[in-house]
Amino acid sequence: MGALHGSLNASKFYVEGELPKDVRRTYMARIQLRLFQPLRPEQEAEESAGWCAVGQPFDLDLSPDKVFNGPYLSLGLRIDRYRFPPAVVHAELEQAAQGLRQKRAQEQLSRSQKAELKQRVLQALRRRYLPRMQAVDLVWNLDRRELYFWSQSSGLRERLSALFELSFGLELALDSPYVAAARTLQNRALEAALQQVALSAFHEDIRGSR
Amino acid sequence: MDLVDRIETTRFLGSEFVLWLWFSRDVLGGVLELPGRGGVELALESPLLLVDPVADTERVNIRGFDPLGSLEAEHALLRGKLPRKVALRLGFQQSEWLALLDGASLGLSGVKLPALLSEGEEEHFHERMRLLEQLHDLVQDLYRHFLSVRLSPRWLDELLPAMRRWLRGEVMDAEAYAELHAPSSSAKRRRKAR
Repeated sequence: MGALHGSLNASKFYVEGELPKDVRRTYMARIQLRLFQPLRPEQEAEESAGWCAVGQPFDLDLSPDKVFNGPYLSLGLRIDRYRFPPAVVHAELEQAAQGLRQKRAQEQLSRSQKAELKQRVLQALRRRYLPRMQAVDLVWNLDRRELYFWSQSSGLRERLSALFELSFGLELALDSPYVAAARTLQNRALEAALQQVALSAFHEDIRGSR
Repeated sequence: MDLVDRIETTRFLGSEFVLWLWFSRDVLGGVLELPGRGGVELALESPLLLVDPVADTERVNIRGFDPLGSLEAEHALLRGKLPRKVALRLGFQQSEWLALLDGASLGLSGVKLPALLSEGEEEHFHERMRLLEQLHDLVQDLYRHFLSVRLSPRWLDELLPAMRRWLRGEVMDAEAYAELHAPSSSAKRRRKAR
Protein backbone atom coordinates (compact mmCIF):
# COMPACT_ATOMS: atom_id res chain seq x y z
CA MET A 1 0.00 0.00 0.00
CA GLY A 2 1.49 3.31 -0.94
CA ALA A 3 1.95 6.02 -3.48
CA LEU A 4 1.75 3.75 -6.51
CA HIS A 5 -1.00 1.28 -5.57
CA GLY A 6 -3.51 0.44 -2.88
CA SER A 7 -5.36 2.49 -0.33
CA LEU A 8 -4.66 6.16 0.24
CA ASN A 9 -3.92 6.77 3.89
CA ALA A 10 -1.49 9.61 3.62
CA SER A 11 -0.55 12.43 5.97
CA LYS A 12 -0.26 15.81 4.31
CA PHE A 13 2.62 18.17 5.06
CA TYR A 14 3.47 21.65 3.83
CA VAL A 15 7.13 22.18 2.93
CA GLU A 16 8.54 25.38 4.41
CA GLY A 17 11.49 27.15 2.79
CA GLU A 18 13.01 27.91 -0.58
CA LEU A 19 14.08 25.28 -3.10
CA PRO A 20 17.57 25.46 -4.63
CA LYS A 21 17.98 26.58 -8.24
CA ASP A 22 19.19 23.26 -9.59
CA VAL A 23 16.69 21.10 -7.74
CA ARG A 24 17.40 17.77 -9.44
CA ARG A 25 21.18 17.83 -9.11
CA THR A 26 21.23 19.32 -5.62
CA TYR A 27 18.60 17.00 -4.22
CA MET A 28 19.99 13.85 -5.86
CA ALA A 29 23.33 14.55 -4.16
CA ARG A 30 21.61 15.12 -0.81
CA ILE A 31 19.48 11.99 -1.15
CA GLN A 32 22.60 9.91 -1.84
CA LEU A 33 24.10 11.17 1.44
CA ARG A 34 21.11 9.85 3.39
CA LEU A 35 20.52 6.67 1.42
CA PHE A 36 19.40 3.70 3.50
CA GLN A 37 22.35 1.64 4.80
CA PRO A 38 21.47 -1.99 5.62
CA LEU A 39 22.20 -3.19 9.15
CA ARG A 40 25.09 -5.61 9.60
CA PRO A 41 25.18 -8.12 12.48
CA GLU A 42 28.83 -7.37 13.30
CA GLN A 43 28.01 -3.71 13.90
CA GLU A 44 26.45 -2.53 17.15
CA ALA A 45 23.74 -0.41 15.50
CA GLU A 46 20.26 -1.75 16.23
CA GLU A 47 18.49 0.57 13.82
CA SER A 48 19.08 2.21 10.45
CA ALA A 49 16.95 4.74 8.56
CA GLY A 50 17.33 6.33 5.13
CA TRP A 51 15.92 6.76 1.65
CA CYS A 52 15.04 4.02 -0.82
CA ALA A 53 13.09 3.93 -4.09
CA VAL A 54 9.36 4.64 -3.81
CA GLY A 55 7.43 1.37 -3.54
CA GLN A 56 10.71 -0.62 -3.68
CA PRO A 57 12.35 -0.88 -0.24
CA PHE A 58 15.19 -3.07 -1.56
CA ASP A 59 16.06 -0.73 -4.41
CA LEU A 60 18.83 1.51 -3.08
CA ASP A 61 20.26 2.38 -6.48
CA LEU A 62 18.49 5.71 -6.87
CA SER A 63 18.69 7.68 -10.09
CA PRO A 64 16.90 10.91 -11.14
CA ASP A 65 14.51 8.84 -13.30
CA LYS A 66 13.35 6.89 -10.25
CA VAL A 67 13.09 9.94 -7.98
CA PHE A 68 11.71 12.72 -10.20
CA ASN A 69 8.48 12.40 -12.13
CA GLY A 70 6.99 15.65 -13.48
CA PRO A 71 6.53 18.01 -10.53
CA TYR A 72 6.88 15.13 -8.06
CA LEU A 73 9.84 13.91 -6.03
CA SER A 74 9.09 10.39 -4.79
CA LEU A 75 11.03 8.35 -2.24
CA GLY A 76 10.59 5.62 0.32
CA LEU A 77 11.58 6.09 3.94
CA ARG A 78 13.04 2.78 5.08
CA ILE A 79 13.67 1.96 8.72
CA ASP A 80 15.19 -1.39 9.74
CA ARG A 81 15.34 -2.31 13.40
CA TYR A 82 16.46 -5.37 15.33
CA ARG A 83 13.79 -6.35 17.82
CA PHE A 84 14.43 -9.40 19.97
CA PRO A 85 11.80 -10.86 22.28
CA PRO A 86 12.84 -9.86 25.83
CA ALA A 87 12.31 -13.44 27.05
CA VAL A 88 14.77 -14.74 24.41
CA VAL A 89 17.39 -12.12 25.32
CA HIS A 90 17.00 -12.96 29.02
CA ALA A 91 17.26 -16.73 28.46
CA GLU A 92 20.30 -16.40 26.17
CA LEU A 93 22.02 -14.10 28.66
CA GLU A 94 21.33 -16.46 31.54
CA GLN A 95 22.71 -19.42 29.62
CA ALA A 96 25.85 -17.53 28.54
CA ALA A 97 26.43 -16.23 32.07
CA GLN A 98 26.14 -19.72 33.51
CA GLY A 99 28.68 -21.03 30.96
CA LEU A 100 31.14 -18.23 31.75
CA ARG A 101 30.80 -18.69 35.51
CA GLN A 102 31.57 -22.40 35.15
CA LYS A 103 34.47 -21.78 32.77
CA ARG A 104 36.09 -19.17 35.03
CA ALA A 105 35.03 -20.90 38.27
CA GLN A 106 33.49 -17.64 39.47
CA GLU A 107 30.40 -17.32 41.64
CA GLN A 108 29.58 -13.83 40.39
CA LEU A 109 30.45 -12.03 37.17
CA SER A 110 31.86 -8.52 37.28
CA ARG A 111 29.97 -5.59 35.80
CA SER A 112 32.34 -5.40 32.80
CA GLN A 113 32.02 -9.15 32.21
CA LYS A 114 28.23 -8.82 32.17
CA ALA A 115 28.38 -5.90 29.73
CA GLU A 116 30.74 -7.77 27.42
CA LEU A 117 28.55 -10.86 27.61
CA LYS A 118 25.46 -8.86 26.70
CA GLN A 119 27.19 -7.46 23.62
CA ARG A 120 28.24 -10.98 22.56
CA VAL A 121 24.70 -12.32 23.07
CA LEU A 122 23.12 -9.43 21.10
CA GLN A 123 25.62 -9.91 18.27
CA ALA A 124 24.79 -13.62 18.14
CA LEU A 125 21.07 -12.76 18.06
CA ARG A 126 21.66 -10.26 15.22
CA ARG A 127 23.16 -13.14 13.22
CA ARG A 128 20.14 -15.35 13.88
CA TYR A 129 17.32 -12.83 13.45
CA LEU A 130 16.47 -10.63 10.49
CA PRO A 131 15.81 -6.96 11.28
CA ARG A 132 12.22 -5.80 11.12
CA MET A 133 11.71 -3.58 8.08
CA GLN A 134 9.34 -0.67 7.62
CA ALA A 135 9.11 1.31 4.38
CA VAL A 136 6.78 4.24 3.84
CA ASP A 137 6.30 6.09 0.56
CA LEU A 138 6.35 9.84 0.20
CA VAL A 139 5.50 12.06 -2.75
CA TRP A 140 6.51 15.70 -2.69
CA ASN A 141 4.95 18.08 -5.20
CA LEU A 142 7.78 20.57 -5.67
CA ASP A 143 5.54 23.15 -7.37
CA ARG A 144 2.84 23.12 -4.70
CA ARG A 145 5.29 22.64 -1.78
CA GLU A 146 3.09 19.86 -0.45
CA LEU A 147 4.16 16.40 0.60
CA TYR A 148 2.11 13.24 1.13
CA PHE A 149 3.49 10.56 3.44
CA TRP A 150 1.78 7.17 3.46
CA SER A 151 1.50 6.76 7.21
CA GLN A 152 -0.64 8.23 9.99
CA SER A 153 1.78 7.11 12.73
CA SER A 154 3.06 10.04 14.80
CA GLY A 155 6.35 8.23 15.43
CA LEU A 156 6.99 7.69 11.72
CA ARG A 157 5.96 11.26 10.93
CA GLU A 158 8.55 12.51 13.42
CA ARG A 159 11.22 10.28 11.85
CA LEU A 160 10.31 11.63 8.43
CA SER A 161 10.47 15.26 9.58
CA ALA A 162 13.91 14.75 11.12
CA LEU A 163 15.39 12.94 8.10
CA PHE A 164 13.74 15.36 5.66
CA GLU A 165 15.21 18.38 7.42
CA LEU A 166 18.66 16.77 7.53
CA SER A 167 18.45 15.83 3.84
CA PHE A 168 16.91 18.90 2.27
CA GLY A 169 17.38 21.67 4.85
CA LEU A 170 13.63 22.35 4.79
CA GLU A 171 11.01 22.01 7.50
CA LEU A 172 7.75 20.11 7.27
CA ALA A 173 4.52 21.44 8.78
CA LEU A 174 1.89 18.77 9.34
CA ASP A 175 -1.59 19.76 8.19
CA SER A 176 -3.96 20.79 11.00
CA PRO A 177 -6.91 23.16 11.37
CA TYR A 178 -4.56 25.96 12.44
CA VAL A 179 -1.84 25.36 9.82
CA ALA A 180 -4.40 25.05 7.01
CA ALA A 181 -6.15 28.22 8.18
CA ALA A 182 -2.93 30.21 8.44
CA ARG A 183 -1.96 29.15 4.90
CA THR A 184 -5.33 29.71 3.32
CA LEU A 185 -6.36 33.09 4.74
CA GLN A 186 -5.65 36.05 2.52
CA ASN A 187 -7.32 38.67 4.64
CA ARG A 188 -5.59 40.44 7.52
CA ALA A 189 -8.76 40.76 9.58
CA LEU A 190 -9.36 37.00 9.35
CA GLU A 191 -5.70 36.27 10.15
CA ALA A 192 -5.97 38.45 13.27
CA ALA A 193 -9.22 36.72 14.24
CA LEU A 194 -7.52 33.32 13.89
CA GLN A 195 -5.09 34.29 16.67
CA GLN A 196 -8.00 35.03 19.02
CA VAL A 197 -10.46 32.33 18.02
CA ALA A 198 -12.10 30.34 20.84
CA LEU A 199 -14.39 27.33 21.00
CA SER A 200 -18.08 28.11 20.51
CA ALA A 201 -20.87 26.52 22.51
CA PHE A 202 -23.48 25.18 20.10
CA HIS A 203 -25.74 23.59 22.65
CA GLU A 204 -26.25 26.68 24.80
CA ASP A 205 -29.82 27.35 25.88
CA ILE A 206 -31.10 24.27 24.13
CA ARG A 207 -34.14 22.83 25.76
CA GLY A 208 -35.83 21.06 22.87
CA SER A 209 -34.46 18.58 20.40
CA ARG A 210 -33.46 18.58 16.72
CA MET B 1 1.55 31.41 22.83
CA ASP B 2 3.93 29.47 20.58
CA LEU B 3 3.00 27.76 17.33
CA VAL B 4 2.75 24.25 18.80
CA ASP B 5 0.33 25.47 21.50
CA ARG B 6 -1.71 27.36 18.94
CA ILE B 7 -1.97 24.24 16.76
CA GLU B 8 -3.11 22.15 19.73
CA THR B 9 -5.56 24.68 21.15
CA THR B 10 -7.32 25.34 17.82
CA ARG B 11 -8.03 21.74 16.82
CA PHE B 12 -11.68 22.39 17.72
CA LEU B 13 -11.92 24.44 14.49
CA GLY B 14 -11.81 21.17 12.56
CA SER B 15 -14.74 19.74 14.54
CA GLU B 16 -16.68 22.97 14.11
CA PHE B 17 -15.94 22.69 10.39
CA VAL B 18 -17.42 19.17 10.29
CA LEU B 19 -20.50 20.43 12.15
CA TRP B 20 -20.79 23.30 9.65
CA LEU B 21 -20.63 20.76 6.78
CA TRP B 22 -23.47 18.88 8.45
CA PHE B 23 -25.48 22.09 8.92
CA SER B 24 -24.79 23.17 5.31
CA ARG B 25 -25.86 19.79 3.96
CA ASP B 26 -29.18 20.07 5.82
CA VAL B 27 -29.79 23.65 4.69
CA LEU B 28 -28.74 23.25 1.05
CA GLY B 29 -29.82 19.70 0.39
CA GLY B 30 -26.31 18.50 -0.35
CA VAL B 31 -24.93 20.97 -2.92
CA LEU B 32 -22.62 23.76 -1.73
CA GLU B 33 -21.67 26.65 -3.96
CA LEU B 34 -18.00 27.44 -3.49
CA PRO B 35 -16.78 30.87 -4.58
CA GLY B 36 -14.78 30.58 -7.80
CA ARG B 37 -15.40 26.87 -8.10
CA GLY B 38 -19.12 26.20 -8.40
CA GLY B 39 -21.28 23.46 -6.98
CA VAL B 40 -19.81 20.67 -4.85
CA GLU B 41 -22.01 17.72 -3.94
CA LEU B 42 -21.63 16.76 -0.30
CA ALA B 43 -22.78 13.69 1.60
CA LEU B 44 -21.84 12.67 5.16
CA GLU B 45 -21.93 8.96 5.90
CA SER B 46 -21.03 6.21 8.36
CA PRO B 47 -18.94 6.06 10.50
CA LEU B 48 -19.52 9.12 12.66
CA LEU B 49 -17.49 9.87 15.78
CA LEU B 50 -18.62 12.61 18.16
CA VAL B 51 -16.28 13.82 20.91
CA ASP B 52 -16.68 16.26 23.76
CA PRO B 53 -14.30 19.13 22.90
CA VAL B 54 -13.34 19.64 26.55
CA ALA B 55 -13.27 15.98 27.66
CA ASP B 56 -11.60 13.92 24.96
CA THR B 57 -12.52 10.56 26.48
CA GLU B 58 -16.25 11.33 26.18
CA ARG B 59 -16.96 9.76 22.80
CA VAL B 60 -19.87 8.39 20.82
CA ASN B 61 -19.08 6.23 17.80
CA ILE B 62 -22.02 5.57 15.47
CA ARG B 63 -22.00 3.17 12.53
CA GLY B 64 -24.67 1.84 10.24
CA PHE B 65 -27.25 3.48 8.01
CA ASP B 66 -27.59 7.29 8.33
CA PRO B 67 -25.70 7.84 11.60
CA LEU B 68 -26.23 11.60 11.29
CA GLY B 69 -29.98 11.12 11.49
CA SER B 70 -29.80 8.85 14.53
CA LEU B 71 -31.05 9.62 18.01
CA GLU B 72 -27.57 8.92 19.43
CA ALA B 73 -26.10 11.66 17.24
CA GLU B 74 -28.86 14.07 18.23
CA HIS B 75 -28.35 13.41 21.93
CA ALA B 76 -24.57 13.69 21.63
CA LEU B 77 -24.85 17.09 19.91
CA LEU B 78 -27.32 18.33 22.50
CA ARG B 79 -24.90 17.30 25.24
CA GLY B 80 -22.17 19.44 23.68
CA LYS B 81 -20.23 16.85 21.70
CA LEU B 82 -18.92 17.81 18.28
CA PRO B 83 -18.38 15.57 15.24
CA ARG B 84 -14.70 14.58 15.14
CA LYS B 85 -14.68 12.03 12.29
CA VAL B 86 -17.10 11.32 9.49
CA ALA B 87 -17.04 9.65 6.09
CA LEU B 88 -17.19 12.40 3.50
CA ARG B 89 -18.43 11.83 -0.04
CA LEU B 90 -17.68 14.70 -2.41
CA GLY B 91 -18.81 15.06 -6.01
CA PHE B 92 -17.35 17.63 -8.34
CA GLN B 93 -17.52 17.84 -12.12
CA GLN B 94 -18.70 14.26 -12.57
CA SER B 95 -16.02 12.83 -10.27
CA GLU B 96 -16.67 11.39 -6.82
CA TRP B 97 -14.36 10.88 -3.86
CA LEU B 98 -14.94 9.14 -0.54
CA ALA B 99 -12.71 9.60 2.52
CA LEU B 100 -12.78 9.59 6.30
CA LEU B 101 -12.31 13.18 7.45
CA ASP B 102 -10.67 13.72 10.84
CA GLY B 103 -11.62 17.14 12.15
CA ALA B 104 -8.79 17.23 14.70
CA SER B 105 -6.12 17.04 12.02
CA LEU B 106 -8.06 17.76 8.80
CA GLY B 107 -6.51 14.44 7.70
CA LEU B 108 -8.15 12.28 5.06
CA SER B 109 -7.75 8.53 5.32
CA GLY B 110 -9.15 5.52 3.46
CA VAL B 111 -9.49 7.72 0.39
CA LYS B 112 -11.38 6.25 -2.55
CA LEU B 113 -10.62 8.10 -5.75
CA PRO B 114 -12.78 8.33 -8.86
CA ALA B 115 -12.06 5.53 -11.34
CA LEU B 116 -8.62 5.93 -12.91
CA LEU B 117 -8.71 6.09 -16.69
CA SER B 118 -5.04 6.25 -17.62
CA GLU B 119 -2.89 3.34 -18.74
CA GLY B 120 0.80 2.89 -18.10
CA GLU B 121 2.53 3.15 -14.74
CA GLU B 122 3.70 6.75 -15.04
CA GLU B 123 0.34 8.10 -16.27
CA HIS B 124 -1.42 6.06 -13.59
CA PHE B 125 0.78 7.62 -10.88
CA HIS B 126 0.18 11.15 -12.22
CA GLU B 127 -3.58 10.67 -12.38
CA ARG B 128 -3.67 9.16 -8.88
CA MET B 129 -1.72 12.07 -7.43
CA ARG B 130 -3.75 14.66 -9.34
CA LEU B 131 -7.01 13.20 -8.02
CA LEU B 132 -5.65 13.03 -4.47
CA GLU B 133 -4.55 16.67 -4.67
CA GLN B 134 -7.92 17.63 -6.14
CA LEU B 135 -9.70 16.08 -3.16
CA HIS B 136 -7.47 17.94 -0.70
CA ASP B 137 -8.09 21.17 -2.64
CA LEU B 138 -11.86 20.66 -2.42
CA VAL B 139 -11.68 20.12 1.35
CA GLN B 140 -9.34 23.11 1.68
CA ASP B 141 -11.78 25.31 -0.28
CA LEU B 142 -14.70 24.16 1.86
CA TYR B 143 -12.64 24.92 4.98
CA ARG B 144 -11.72 28.36 3.64
CA HIS B 145 -15.40 29.04 2.95
CA PHE B 146 -16.26 28.05 6.52
CA LEU B 147 -13.45 30.20 7.95
CA SER B 148 -14.57 33.25 5.98
CA VAL B 149 -17.65 33.32 8.22
CA ARG B 150 -16.24 31.60 11.32
CA LEU B 151 -13.56 34.26 11.77
CA SER B 152 -15.78 37.22 10.92
CA PRO B 153 -18.31 39.13 13.08
CA ARG B 154 -21.05 37.26 11.13
CA TRP B 155 -20.22 34.15 13.16
CA LEU B 156 -21.39 35.42 16.55
CA ASP B 157 -24.08 37.66 15.10
CA GLU B 158 -25.70 35.30 12.63
CA LEU B 159 -24.24 31.87 11.85
CA LEU B 160 -23.74 30.56 15.39
CA PRO B 161 -27.32 31.51 16.41
CA ALA B 162 -28.58 29.88 13.18
CA MET B 163 -26.65 26.67 13.96
CA ARG B 164 -28.05 26.66 17.50
CA ARG B 165 -31.56 27.00 16.07
CA TRP B 166 -30.75 24.16 13.66
CA LEU B 167 -29.80 21.98 16.62
CA ARG B 168 -33.29 22.70 17.99
CA GLY B 169 -34.80 21.56 14.71
CA GLU B 170 -35.17 24.85 12.87
CA VAL B 171 -33.47 24.72 9.48
CA MET B 172 -32.20 27.98 8.03
CA ASP B 173 -33.58 29.30 4.78
CA ALA B 174 -31.22 28.54 1.84
CA GLU B 175 -31.35 32.13 0.62
CA ALA B 176 -30.40 33.47 4.05
CA TYR B 177 -27.55 30.93 4.14
CA ALA B 178 -26.29 32.12 0.75
CA GLU B 179 -26.38 35.74 1.85
CA LEU B 180 -24.61 34.95 5.09
CA HIS B 181 -21.86 33.12 3.21
CA ALA B 182 -21.46 35.67 0.43
CA PRO B 183 -18.19 37.65 0.41
CA SER B 184 -18.52 40.21 3.22
CA SER B 185 -18.58 43.28 0.93
CA SER B 186 -21.49 42.04 -1.21
CA ALA B 187 -23.41 40.85 1.85
CA LYS B 188 -23.05 44.31 3.41
CA ARG B 189 -24.28 45.91 0.21
CA ARG B 190 -27.35 43.70 0.17
CA ARG B 191 -28.12 44.40 3.82
CA LYS B 192 -27.81 48.16 3.25
CA ALA B 193 -30.09 47.95 0.23
CA ARG B 194 -32.88 46.49 2.37
